[in-house]
Amino acid sequence: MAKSDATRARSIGRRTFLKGTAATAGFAALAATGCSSGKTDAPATTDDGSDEVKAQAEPEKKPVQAPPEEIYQGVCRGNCFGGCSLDVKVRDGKVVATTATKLPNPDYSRICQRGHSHLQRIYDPDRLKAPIRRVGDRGAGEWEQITWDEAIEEITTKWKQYQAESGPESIAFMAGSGNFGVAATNYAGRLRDAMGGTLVQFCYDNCYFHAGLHAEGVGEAFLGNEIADIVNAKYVFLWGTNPSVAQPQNWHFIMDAKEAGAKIIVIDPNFTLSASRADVFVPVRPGTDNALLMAMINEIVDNGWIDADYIKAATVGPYLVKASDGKFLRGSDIGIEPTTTVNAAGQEVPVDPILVRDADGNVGTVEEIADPVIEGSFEIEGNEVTCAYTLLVESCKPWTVARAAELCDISEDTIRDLAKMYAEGPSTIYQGFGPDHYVNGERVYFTQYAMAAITHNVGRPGASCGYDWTYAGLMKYVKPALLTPQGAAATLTTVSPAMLEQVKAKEVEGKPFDLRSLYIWVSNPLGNQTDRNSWIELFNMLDLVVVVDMRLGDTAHYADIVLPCVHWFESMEIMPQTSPYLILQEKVIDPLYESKTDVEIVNLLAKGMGIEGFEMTLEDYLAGTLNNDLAKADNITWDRLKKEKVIEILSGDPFYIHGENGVFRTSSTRLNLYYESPTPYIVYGQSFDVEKNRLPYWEPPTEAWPETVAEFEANPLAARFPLIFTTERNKMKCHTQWGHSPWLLELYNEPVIRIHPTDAEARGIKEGDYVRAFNDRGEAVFKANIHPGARPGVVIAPKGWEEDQFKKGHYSNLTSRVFNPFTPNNCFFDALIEIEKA
Amino acid sequence: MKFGMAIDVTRCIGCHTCAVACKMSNNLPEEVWWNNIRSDGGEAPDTARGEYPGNLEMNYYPVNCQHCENPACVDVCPTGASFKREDGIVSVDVDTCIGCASCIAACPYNVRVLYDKEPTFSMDFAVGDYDAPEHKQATVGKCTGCANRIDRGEVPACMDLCPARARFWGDLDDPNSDVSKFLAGKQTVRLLENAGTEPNVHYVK
Repeated sequence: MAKSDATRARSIGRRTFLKGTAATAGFAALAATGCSSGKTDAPATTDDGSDEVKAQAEPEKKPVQAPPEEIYQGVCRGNCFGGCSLDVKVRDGKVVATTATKLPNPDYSRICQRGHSHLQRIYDPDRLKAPIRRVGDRGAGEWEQITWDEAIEEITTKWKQYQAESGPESIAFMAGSGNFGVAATNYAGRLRDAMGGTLVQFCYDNCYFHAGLHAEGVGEAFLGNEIADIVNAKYVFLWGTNPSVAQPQNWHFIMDAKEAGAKIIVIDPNFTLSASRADVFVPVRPGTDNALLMAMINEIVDNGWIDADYIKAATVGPYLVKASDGKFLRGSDIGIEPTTTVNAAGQEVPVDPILVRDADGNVGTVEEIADPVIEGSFEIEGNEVTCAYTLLVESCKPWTVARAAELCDISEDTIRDLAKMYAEGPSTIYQGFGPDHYVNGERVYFTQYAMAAITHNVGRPGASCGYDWTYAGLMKYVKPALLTPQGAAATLTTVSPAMLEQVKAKEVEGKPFDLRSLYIWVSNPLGNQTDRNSWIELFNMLDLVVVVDMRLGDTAHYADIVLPCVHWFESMEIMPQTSPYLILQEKVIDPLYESKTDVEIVNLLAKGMGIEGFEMTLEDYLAGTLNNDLAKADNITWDRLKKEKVIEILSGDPFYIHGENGVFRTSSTRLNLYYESPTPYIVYGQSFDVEKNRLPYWEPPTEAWPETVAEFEANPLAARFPLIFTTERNKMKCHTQWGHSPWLLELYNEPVIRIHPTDAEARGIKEGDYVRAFNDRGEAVFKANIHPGARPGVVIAPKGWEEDQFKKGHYSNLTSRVFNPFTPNNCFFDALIEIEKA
Repeated sequence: MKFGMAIDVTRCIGCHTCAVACKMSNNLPEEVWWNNIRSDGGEAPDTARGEYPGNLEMNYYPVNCQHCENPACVDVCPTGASFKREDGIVSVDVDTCIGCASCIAACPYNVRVLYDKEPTFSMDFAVGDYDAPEHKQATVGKCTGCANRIDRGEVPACMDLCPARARFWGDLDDPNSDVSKFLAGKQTVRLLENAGTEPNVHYVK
């Protein structure tokens, strides 16, 4: 058809606005003039042909000669949990298109608006061309270009000085999930360990990880069943999650379940897009989810909807908890000497078996006692004990349906209905990260697992609790840890939200910590962590902040030296997560400008530091991560991956079911509905309340509790800052990635905040007004979107915008670093603000 | 043969994947979108309609050229540049188009764009399909049904892969086409049905 040679040859200026485009008119205009309902059952016959325009012959065109084009295997790695396998098309040496790979199972073929926009990240005119060094004030945007040799020389000379003056822990390394490939994510950790540096845990999603790893253990889909199994659920609970926006690749599975007859239940303070497609929307008060869960457990128990046989067989419910120390009764407690056994690693380890009791009072191991009780308290050889299941039930008892209804701001009938549906099952709880974003978040997931365990909504088709992050590859076959230099380890571990205080105090829980330098890769904490101003304060206390990035993102903007890394398509990678496949990234084009891979950068730094063992190439490393016994046994090799590009690794027929055999990869090999030995998710020496963390409990969010409800008094900050500040996934971004793609910016061009009409009216705010959101931590200016789906008293800001895109401030100025020491985390929603017209 | 599309509004999540696929494949100029995702709650994207909490709706209508049975644009085109192919696709011949914008005034769907200035591009080389349509100043651009792709056996860019599996296309005259199979037995909505244009894009609510 049309010739495009002229177009392609044209040299085009940037950013000229074209007026009068179709994009400017809204849908309302179309709808207003009559969007009528078709009456026909057979749309193929809607034309009667009477006024039909006669088809015309197409004007003769000289066909365009197809130029040579190549397709390479790619994989999207922004950690939206997509892991999308992509076909990357190259013409004249440039990436010109990305489309979805046709995978063996078409349900997993996937791409999104961001995936189609990769070429705008590759050819972003603001890509870093070479290493740069700050010359003006921090954050002033004044830089000088330096050579790689100069950059490495300066960094390593200073690092050696810091090591000598302040110890190896004075240099800290912080990652994120900005390039979720095996090498990009892990390789710099080798250098950290070889240098004995400090590991900064970046603390995202930890409530979900912590509770899930303890309660049901990692499976091939990480936590829960393979997403495709959701079609077998009768009830799908989207609990504090909005997958239609956050994981569009999964949405069709949920709609498939709905079409198959499942009821979709959305539990969320805000009316989200997912809620709009649900059968039941439960508009809970923010931060009250665990009160709801405990009330549901009460209702389930009171009605006898538990699965006692499953509790006996697959959970720690029958285990006997000692009143004296909260631990399970073991043989040694009744005078049976522990024996020993040899574990898989060949070490001799003690065996002190956990005991259960039957109704006749016989006590023994689960192998010995055929029918253990799950309820009751007993005295056994001087030990006062109670069944773990009984303790679970008792812990929930005070949280009656009536009390939860008041706390959650929903009706008692709603809670009863939810409990009934859930217990009837098969029910899937599709977890997300809404509850995770409050200081009280970890218990929500803990109690979800407990409720799943007692109703057998785990381990069978359609019954799942968790989130399919398809960990199969990393867990089974891809083992970067094997390539850690012998004996190397981080000297210190710390957690990102606590770091500023630790740096000020020059200690981490009693251990010296004179932090001098921070190396940040695959991460943009200033855009993604809470309390952005605290990060700038932290950077100002350091001697050398080094950031690796493709462009001057928010964090790089405040760095001392920025090193340019490759775009994902400019090097090889393995993506072992978030799909049933191990996926290869081929090197599609050469690195642009002077950008380098993380492996190359780290090798240069190691050489500068005089550290051996960093001579391997990227390909050596990738191949090495697959060079292990299990991978070999299953014929998963680097050579095979290079040849086949995509290898299916998830087991299951037809779907992977977590814990299908009743055995779980937990401390007890059972579902842990009781936490025998509470351990913080990240241990850095902090103190925490052991007893409180054995069982479900609820307390209000730390800050985001603006009204007094029942005996729980409002946070006094609410007098000045009455609105709860929440953020939402931004359709056009993955965290802060794709933030400057021109195509996507044409669609969503500036930071917006959604405000309920009554909250807007009370402040004189109208649609499209610029508003200032603020609290004592900082401010941000947004465009107001008056949105009836925002819960009154709660505002929603789609996130991912960077500083240069705000008229003033940044959304992360508003959030708080407060966290629960048991589960160190970024608690994004536990924040109060006020809004006024800007 | 009658080219047509169907969009399952109950599945569409307004992600814009189809719109960006179109933008990429057709090498569209800056600010030009041949496929627009409209929120039915209001002008701002993702706006809901109704009262919190129990009476709310949020829906999207991807709107591209409706490839009408009786295309108003073709009727008014003074040069014959706007034409309907035998397969039902309504298109514009850039070599004949004089950019008079009569078609834009006639089309009730606001899916045509007048390139009144030299089109500009955010990329400095042509992306997408090697035979993407030419975007020429003083002509009108619009969804071509990806005729270039269809003619070599590919699917339209917007139909290549919808994350929500909400989009269907094919020959409405062929009961075995994807679009006919999807539409069979379903109540459908067509935009501005009373305009007499007989659009061939069907929305299922």
